[in-house]
Parts: sequence; structure tokens; C-alpha cells
Amino acid sequence: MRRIVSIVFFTLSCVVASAQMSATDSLYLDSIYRHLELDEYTVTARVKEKDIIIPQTLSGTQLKKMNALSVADAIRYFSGVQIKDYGGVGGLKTVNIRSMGTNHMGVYYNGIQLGNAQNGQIDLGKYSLENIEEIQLFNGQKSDIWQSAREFGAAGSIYLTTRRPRFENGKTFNIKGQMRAGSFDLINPSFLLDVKLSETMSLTTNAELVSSSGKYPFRYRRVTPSGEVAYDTTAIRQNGDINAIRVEAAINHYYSNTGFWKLQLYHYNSERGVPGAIVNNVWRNGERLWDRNSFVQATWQDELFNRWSVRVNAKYANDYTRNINNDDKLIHVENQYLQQELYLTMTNKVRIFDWWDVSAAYDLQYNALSMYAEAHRFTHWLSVATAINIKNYLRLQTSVLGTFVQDCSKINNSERAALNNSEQPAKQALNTKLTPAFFLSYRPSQVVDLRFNAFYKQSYRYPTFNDLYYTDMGNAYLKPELAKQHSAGLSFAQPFRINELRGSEFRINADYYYNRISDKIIAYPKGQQFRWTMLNLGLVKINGIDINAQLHFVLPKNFYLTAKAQYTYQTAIDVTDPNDSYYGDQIPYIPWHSGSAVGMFGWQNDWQQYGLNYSFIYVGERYNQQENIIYNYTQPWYTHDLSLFGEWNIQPISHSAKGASNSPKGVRYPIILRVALDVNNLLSQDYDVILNYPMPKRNYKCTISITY
Amino acid sequence: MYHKHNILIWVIGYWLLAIGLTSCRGDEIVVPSEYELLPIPVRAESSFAPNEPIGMYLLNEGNMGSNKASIDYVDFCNGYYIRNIYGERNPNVIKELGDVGNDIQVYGNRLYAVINCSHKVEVMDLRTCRRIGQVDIPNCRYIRFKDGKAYISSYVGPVSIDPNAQLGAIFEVDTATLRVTRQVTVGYQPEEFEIIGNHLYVANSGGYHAPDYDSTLSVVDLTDFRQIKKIPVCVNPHRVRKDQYDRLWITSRGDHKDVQPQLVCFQPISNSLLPIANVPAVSEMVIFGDSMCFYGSHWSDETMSNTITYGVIDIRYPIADSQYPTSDPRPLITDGTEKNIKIPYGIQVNPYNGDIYITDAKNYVSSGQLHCYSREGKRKWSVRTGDIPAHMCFVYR
Repeated sequence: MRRIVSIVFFTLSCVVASAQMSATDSLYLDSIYRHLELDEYTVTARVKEKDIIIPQTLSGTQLKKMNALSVADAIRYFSGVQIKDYGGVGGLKTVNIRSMGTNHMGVYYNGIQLGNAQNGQIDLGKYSLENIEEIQLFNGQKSDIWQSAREFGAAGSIYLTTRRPRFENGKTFNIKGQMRAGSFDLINPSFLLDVKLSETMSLTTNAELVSSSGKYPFRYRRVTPSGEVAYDTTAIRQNGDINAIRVEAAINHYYSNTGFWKLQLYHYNSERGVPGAIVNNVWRNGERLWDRNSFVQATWQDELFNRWSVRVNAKYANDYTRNINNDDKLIHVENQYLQQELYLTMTNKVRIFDWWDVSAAYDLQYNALSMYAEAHRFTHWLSVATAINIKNYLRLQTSVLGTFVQDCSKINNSERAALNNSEQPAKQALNTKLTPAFFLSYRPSQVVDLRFNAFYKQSYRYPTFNDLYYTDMGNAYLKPELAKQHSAGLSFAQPFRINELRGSEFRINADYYYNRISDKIIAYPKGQQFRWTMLNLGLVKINGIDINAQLHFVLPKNFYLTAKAQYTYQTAIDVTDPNDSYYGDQIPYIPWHSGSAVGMFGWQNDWQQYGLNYSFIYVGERYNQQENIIYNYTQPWYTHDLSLFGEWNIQPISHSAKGASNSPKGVRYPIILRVALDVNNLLSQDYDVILNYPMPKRNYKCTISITY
Repeated sequence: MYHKHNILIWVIGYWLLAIGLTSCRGDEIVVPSEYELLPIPVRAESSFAPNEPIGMYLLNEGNMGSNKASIDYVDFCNGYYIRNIYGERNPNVIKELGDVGNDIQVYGNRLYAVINCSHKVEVMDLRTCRRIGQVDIPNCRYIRFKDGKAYISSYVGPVSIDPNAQLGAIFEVDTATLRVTRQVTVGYQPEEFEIIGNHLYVANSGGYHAPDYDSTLSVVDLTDFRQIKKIPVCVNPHRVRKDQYDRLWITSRGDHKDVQPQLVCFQPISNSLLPIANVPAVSEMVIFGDSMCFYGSHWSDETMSNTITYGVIDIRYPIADSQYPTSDPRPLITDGTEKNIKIPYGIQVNPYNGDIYITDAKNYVSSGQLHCYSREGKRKWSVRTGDIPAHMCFVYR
């Protein structure tokens, strides 16, 4: 019982803002809710076992309640994260952890990194939450030594885990249909089907369509210093439309208690307008973008001889991008890019003693860029790591990663085609880098959940193909950019029980960090006119504090209340050259203060539940260029979002919870109808996240789904 | 229990305090002008000679997409440098001056600013910098005047059948009505031009057709507004300036690979073309009597750095049959302060006292600098400007 209770509290701590009751509560709940909670147990229990520094996590019902459209929308609630959002459903959305820059981030889809060798940016606005069960954010790396070598390489990591199909006893398929509609002519239907092929094997398929005109009103208003309105204009965003389709399918085979394999297919195809910057006399741009991302990935993992855990991952990705400028006022430009990626890894972990693990992994990746420019890259990663757990008081991890990069290029775009390529190195020398990482976590008492943790990590950001070879701008001699991270923090969790059945919990984490980015790859003016090159010139020092607190209350009469707040303070200053006018200034788009707050209030019984979710995001003042002067000042923005949902089991009551497990025959499984209403930017604030890219005013969404 | 709540209150309180401190969003205010005192004597406007400038406008281009084109003004009477004058003088213009300023010129009592990515020519009162109107010209580049008409070069002429072979154009605008009266198609991506007599000579750069740059000068007859011929001059031509002998000085940007940038002198009357071999890459120049002050910046892939030169040449001699067309350039800056200029981006010479103004665009995404040098090449003063200070023109009494 004690163990169960501890698991329950752990669950609460990791998945605080959710509808779940304690394990004992769930006994009298309808089985549908129970199986959701069980999902969370498996997730959080695994987390407890593996990661010595607990990541920030959003999962299961909590994600569902936020009712966000894309992964980018959900990640905004993590501390230490800055998001760049160009606005609208189709607008580019990238994230950056602890001010180190988007290119230092690793984004992993079911454990395998999503790549973009061309520009290094992953547009998280393209990844739907529809099929995502869990999002985790790790500063540094996953503090678990059983990971592929490449995973040790990022300075910050986001893990997206897709839903694993689960079947109630006797059920052979799950089905879900959903329709979402909202402002800007948003239509977003999706469909899901899980099929139980055998007791151990299942197939899951998922398809989604997103369509939006992207026509939202936005407003620019200025007043004179004396307070008179200088101008106040509202216009409609043009050329922000999107049509996207996503299809996914996966086969899982859990053939033993320790082993499984999984094969996954992903296909995304979109056409969108690139709405562009709103500047004087320009209210519309004509650029169009076609995007196709497809990949197939496979995983096999097992434990051999009781001590040796092994995992093999493989992936092939094929991404095509086409970009046309149709604007009459601009020069017609058309570019096409094809990127291919082949990836293979083998990860091993051996448990030498119960308190001592070692791991070794080797990864190989091949990247190719073709059509607009030809470039190839071979990357090998080799890692060794060890983890020591001293009686659950002190846990230590050390890893060393060797990265070996070899680039080959032949630029054949129109400009370089007629020229000799002698200046472009056909093949570069192998670039070898070693990067260490140390993680530790100390828990002085097994009674009180108070932990101190710290890490030090080095990581390299490799130049992208654009940095190296982009027409005119690329510099084939670039070195990788080095990030050194130092972080120390503590976490405290305190459960308090009201009675045997109900538990509440409070948790707080605080971290201080200092990061230093050297050899930062920056654009440098070149020769006459507007020409640039990329150079390893920048030096940035980042100091920051992340604090997040969560409180979960289980109230009488089946009510619950969850509150969650996070706050980040950081300085990220450019110390490249004392002669620069921006020496010592905060780097662009990094606010000193940012934070968010989420409140969830709900009620549930055994066949229905209702909830109200309120969230607030604040991003403080910042500057849109390097110099911290009035011309570059950007005002704070903050938005309030509100979401209301109701969920009903519309299958006539069958008291299935216990009945199902005893006699599968004749059991009617629940059919869940869910309706959610969302209002985003409730106070209709007019703001830009990125200068001259206006964000939508108040907007609405309505979601209806039926799950069987 | 009590203790725990205390922590919670503390955390929430701290968080609210932090947000409170940074405060909320206020009204967005039209950024006011900034005044900076220059180390020059204050003089009454009446003490200026008619041919002595009383002020100079400086157009800052602003990085593309930033909408930060701005106009600064050097007030030679009161000794002020006024930054960002346009927004304050024209608070009602939506989204201010615009995106990427590309040229600024004075004609009559008016100031004309060509705003490339806002696709317009902004017309202002010369003395007050208040807006009179605007002329919409797509992708406009440079402006010149003759007989009450403004001529503007533009990268995009009428839409052609093959969108990849889009020719540029010269637009003619009546300065009285601010309407486009005529337009003529010229070569690829036309840049600067000059008008000599009844002919307009425009440099077709073909900058978007790398590596097949254009290399011609289009000659447009102003009477029937027709391109009468194309003269091959140099690869990727950019600047075109006439001197008092009705010759055209043209800079070539080269192809950024094999063909080096160069300066050529073209004499329309004799149709003679003379490369000026003893002058290195010229990026921008200003002709002042018989002198040409110039700077050139050239990127070297070997050293991974810019080579920057400043110089003055005597332009009297280049004629087709001369063996020694020009004297070798003598240094423009003599006090060694040129090493403080990262990327020279504009040059102008005060025609009355010979003061030289050179702008530094730095890294294109931060404030630049304006440096004033005496005609002997000694630095007199420097001042912070807007982003990418580039184009300057004078105001007379």
C-alpha cells in the first residue's frame, strides 16, 4: 500500500494538472478514466526510474485539457523556453531553451531526432498534438544513460511521444473521430483507429487535415508623446492560408515483458502562404511554400541475460520544400530543396551491479541536400556513459560523446554552376569533437522529497548546410558553435493527504544556470552592398533562474483544482567585442522576465466530467535587434486563454468498470462524447512576438470528438 | 501545513511582483526624434552663402523586413544632429517611413526618398520634412530629375511572359501631380542613372541573374521615352555619375568570383569607354569639381576579411587616347581613423567647404555612424545614426 501511495504521489507530482484522482479514488471511477490514469502511471513510473533530474512534462489528460493545436502552443508553458512565433496557424514557430538558440535544440519524435540539416530549425507548429501523449523538456540532456549517442549531443531536448494504443479487456479496436473548427476559417478534422492484431501486437493509424484561410484582423496603433492617436489601423492578414495533411501509422509488438519492436510511418504535406512582414505600404506578400516531410522509423529493444539492455533505431527521412515568390513587385524567385536523412543507432546498457550501470552507443547518420545545392554530410556519434546510484541518496551520471562530422559539397545552384568549384572544398577533413557531461542528484532524506541537482555539459551546434553553402553567404570553413552549460537547482515536493481517498500535492523547482556560447555563428557583412557571410564571431553569456511551482488539490464532492505557475528571469548578453555598440546588451528577442500560469478547475463522476482551464502567458519587454535602444524596444505581451469542456459517456450505463474485466462478452464499452470551447487571447491584445509579424486578436475554437 | 502554504504564497507573490515590476504593455508611442549637439559653431541662417548647405539629410536604409528606414538631419545652423526626424514630423503615417530606404534627393523645395521595399517614393517638404504625398513605384531604386519630371529606376517592369526574365523599368513622374506619366522597359535590375541632354543612361546590373549578370547601359530617349540602345560597359554595373564634362563614371560590382570590381569612364559623345585600371574596387563615390572621392570595400575569401580603400582621384584627364587617364589615388583619410570604420556605406562631400561625410553601416543590424572629415582628411566629428546610414543630400538656404 505504501508503495502504491508513493506511486500515486509521484504521478501527481509529474502530471499535476490533470483530472486524475488517487489510485484508490479511481477504483470507483468508470474504467475509461482509469485507463487514462494507468497510462500516466506507466509514463511517470518510468520517468522516476530513469531520469535523475526530473524533466518538465505535459502529458495525457493535461495536454488534452489545454486543447492546443500544435506542439509549439503547448511548449510555451515550460519554463526557460522562448518561442518565436510568426503568427497564425501556418506561421513558423520555433523554440529556444535558455537562450542558447534554436539550433542547439534537439527535438525527438519517439526517441529519434527530427532533423533539418539545411537550416537546423524545427517548426514545432507543424507537429500536431493530436497523436501526442507526452511532451518532455530536458535541460541539457535526458539524465538517463540509456540513450543513443546523438541524444547526448543537444544542449536542450524536447521529447514528443506518440500515443500507444491500449485496449480494454476484450476490446479489439479503438476509434476516434474529431472535428475542430474555429476562427480564420479553421477546419481541422482528424481520425484515429487502433486495431488489436493479437494479444501483443497492435496497429494504430491516425490522419488529420488542417485548413485555414489565415485571414485574421490585426491592429497597429500609435499615439504621440502628448497622447493623441497618431494612427490606428486594422487590417486583415493576407496570404497566411494553409492546407496540410498528416498521416501516421505504427505497428507495435510487445513480444515479451522486456522486448518490443515498433515500426512507424509519418507523412506530412502542406501548402501555405508566407504572409511576410507588415511594413509601410505593404499589406500583402506573395510568397508560397510547399512542404513535404515523410519518414519511416523503426525501433527494437530488449533486455538480454537480465543485465544487458539493447536498443536499435533506424530512420529514413525525405523532406521536400519548394518556395516561390509570386509577388508582382518583387523579382520572381523559385527554389526547391530535397533533403534526405538516413540514421542508424545501437544503444547498449549493462547493469554491472544494482547501483552501477554503464552504457555505450554508436550512431551513424547520412544527410544529403539536393536540387538547389548539393551537399552531403556523414556524422558518426560515439558515446560512453555511466550511472551510479548510491542507495537512492546520491545519483551520478557521466557521459562522453565523440562527434565525427565529414562534409562533402558541390554547389550547383545557378550562380555557381558556371564557375569553377575550386574554392569550394569538395571534401572536408573529418571534424572531431569530444564533449563531456556530468549530472548529479542528491536527496538527503528518503522521507522528505527534497532533491538538489546539478549538471555541467558541453555541446556543439554544427553549422547547417545553409551556414556552410548558402549562395554567397555560406562559409565552408565554419567551426561548430560551442555551448557550455552549468546548472544547479533544487526540487521539493510535499504531498498532503486529506484522508485515505484523497490526496493533494505541492511541488516546486528552482534552477540557476549559467551558459556560455562561444564561436557563435553569426552573419557578418561582406564586401560591398548587402552581402553577408557566416563567421564564428559571437560570444554570449547567459545567466538565468527558472522557477516553477505546481499545486494540486482534490476537493470534496469530486471537484479538483490544479494551479501551476512558472517564471524565468534571464540575462543573455553579447560580449563579443567591446567596440560594438551593443556590447553588454541583451541579445534580440530574449525577455528578462517571462512566465505563465495555468489554472484548471473541474468536476467529474463516473460517467461525465466538466472542466474549465485558464492559462496566462507573459513575455516581458525585450529588444528586436542587438542594440538595447528605444528604436529596437518591443513591448511585453501577455495573453489569457480560456477553455471549457464537457465529456459524457453516451453508451447506456453498463457499470463496465469491474464487469468488463470479469466477463468481456456482452459488455458495452463506453462511447465518449467530448465538446470543448476555446477562447484564445481573451482580451484581444494586439501584439507582435516578432517585429512586424502581427499576432491574431481574440479567436475561438470548437472541438467535438467521439471516442469508442 | 502552515509552512507549506507560506512557501506557496511566497512563490506566487514573487512571481506577481516580478511581473508587476516589468509592468504591463502601454500605448505604443511614435518614437520621438533625438537631438545631439555637434561640435560645430552655431551660425545664423542668413550668414550662409547661397551655395553653402545649411543642412544635410541622411537616409538610413534599415534592414529588410524591419521597417526601420529613417531620416536624420544634420543642422549646420544650430549644430544639431537630429535622429529619426520623419516619424515625429509625420506621426499619422501608418508604419512610418517604411522598409529599406534606397535613395534621397532634393528637387526644388521638396525632398524625395525612395523606399525600396515599401514600393514608394515619399515626397516631403524640404524644410519641415512633412509629407506632401507618395508615388507608388514597385521595387524602386534611384531617383533623378529633369524639367519638372522625376525619373525612377525600378527592378520590375511590366510582368513579362517568362517570369524569370523580368526586365526593369524607368518610371517618369510629374512632380506637380505626383502621378506616373510614362514608363519604359530597360535591362535587368536597373540601378543608378544619369540624364545628359535628352538622354537617360541607366546601369542594368542583372544582380538577380547571377552568374549571368547584365553588363549594359540602357540609353533612353526622353522625348518619346523609348530605349534607343544598350551599350556594353562592365559586368554588374551599379553607380552612374556624371561629371562636369558630361562623362559618366560607372562602377562595376564584378561577379563576386572571377571578374573583379572596377571603375570605368564612359563618354557618350564619343562613345568611348575607358577602364580606370589604377583605381581599386569602387563601391561608392562622389564627384566634386574635378575630384572624385570614393571608397571601395572588397571581400577576400582568402583572408576572410574586407579590404577597404578610401581615395581621391583627379578626373580631368581620362580621354580615350591618353596613356595616363588619371593620377593614382591619394588618400582620403589622412589621420588613420579609417580603421574605426567597419563597413563604409555612404559618402558625400560638402560642395562649399569640402567637408567629407562617410557613413559606417557596422553590421547592418545596429546603429551606424556618420563621420565628418575635413578636406585634408582629418576627422572632425562622429555621430550615431539609424540602421545602415547610406544616402545623403544637402539643403540650401
